[in-house]
Amino acid sequence: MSNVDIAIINYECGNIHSARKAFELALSELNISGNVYVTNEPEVIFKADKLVLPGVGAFPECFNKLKSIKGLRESIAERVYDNGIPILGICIGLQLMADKGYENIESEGLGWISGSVENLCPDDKSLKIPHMGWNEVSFKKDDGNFSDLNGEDFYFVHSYYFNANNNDNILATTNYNQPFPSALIKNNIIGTQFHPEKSQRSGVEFIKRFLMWKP
Amino acid sequence: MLKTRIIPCLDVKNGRVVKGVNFINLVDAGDPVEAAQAYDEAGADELCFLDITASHENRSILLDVVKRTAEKCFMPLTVGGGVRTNEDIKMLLDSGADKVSINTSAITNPNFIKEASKAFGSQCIVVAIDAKSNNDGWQIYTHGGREPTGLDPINFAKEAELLGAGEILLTSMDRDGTKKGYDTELLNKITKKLKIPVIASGGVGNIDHIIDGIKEGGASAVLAASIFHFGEITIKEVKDKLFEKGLSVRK
Repeated sequence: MSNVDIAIINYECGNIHSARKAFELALSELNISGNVYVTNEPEVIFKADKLVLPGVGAFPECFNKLKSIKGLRESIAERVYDNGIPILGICIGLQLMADKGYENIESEGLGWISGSVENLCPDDKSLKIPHMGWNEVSFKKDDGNFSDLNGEDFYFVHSYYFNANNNDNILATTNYNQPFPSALIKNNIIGTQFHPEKSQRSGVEFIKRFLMWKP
Repeated sequence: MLKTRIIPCLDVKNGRVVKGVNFINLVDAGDPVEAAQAYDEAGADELCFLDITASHENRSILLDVVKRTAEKCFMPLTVGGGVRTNEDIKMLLDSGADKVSINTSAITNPNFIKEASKAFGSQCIVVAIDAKSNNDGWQIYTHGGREPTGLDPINFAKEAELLGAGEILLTSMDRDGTKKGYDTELLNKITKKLKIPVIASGGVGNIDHIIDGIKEGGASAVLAASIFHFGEITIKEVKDKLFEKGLSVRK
């Protein structure tokens, strides 16, 4: 791989400073040249080799912001579906890929991975919501790429989770009283409920694997 | 299993660490970025900057510190001190902070908690409560502990949760700086009543105090300053001991 350009999609949903820095570090550790763009411009998205859809905030507001930027949603979909470019969704970025979200109100999502976004509701009522902090990620299958990070701790902060309709799309789960899907995968689409850009060494290792990933 | 977070806190004034960080061979112990990196390497789970700069004009210095820290440390960073408006929060988040801690402004104007969490999401709004015991309970103080408010910290913490706070940072003013341990009684009353996580602060002198804060106080995270800065205890020692006691920590 000679050059990898990464577009981190900026749709005004949260701090992406750290995401940019983490991707730059991952590129340099892999000895790959490339640029990390923080952008909402379709032209940049059309040139990028990998896309990242980050995000923090509430599902309906984030989806509205994504839709409100002219041509953004369409350009991402074209890259992901027509050109097969790998995309990583992080936290809300993953959740937006569901059919529907139920945060505050029922609202539609991108519908890329079948499922809905529902509130975390552990049986043990003493457990705190949001689920905030470091927790283990257990990979369900050996995919020869991401799964060697099985058992590593990653940083989470969320009150809702991606309830997947197809078990095949669940790459990893995490336990918070009950297991919930913490990483999902479908063809060239991958998403994490945790924040790799905030997860120190294990996070950078995850990002490196995303950059090397050949779906 | 979710791990208990260990959070070192650095007091920053005019872009410099005050009280110093003596535990490692730092070239410049007063540089918050270098101290942050050292804690990153030492295995801290999060980091907290408390800006105690008196004048608001020096905000740009803090923003630069936050920015340079976020370039080097890939762990959650909370920044507090003098946060009064949504614009203050936006500038901190844009500089690379993940969470913003609001103290006086949240207590004098609880509606600010609602506005802030609506604009930026609950996950990044930490409400910091400074409490001191009195004859029949506790009372909240503001303005760096100078102004009594007559407010009960237990009820106020619940109100902050309902207004959209994502987390509570509870500092016991009776214990702060005493090394006598956290006020586990107050902690326990608050953690029992709240659904959101509570960070214990004020009074840590040894590892047993940290264990008490978690076991008796019910804290989801523990914050400490001087014991880490002066190298009395390392983060690794804390985690090893917690693990030995059956508490879950990130290795």
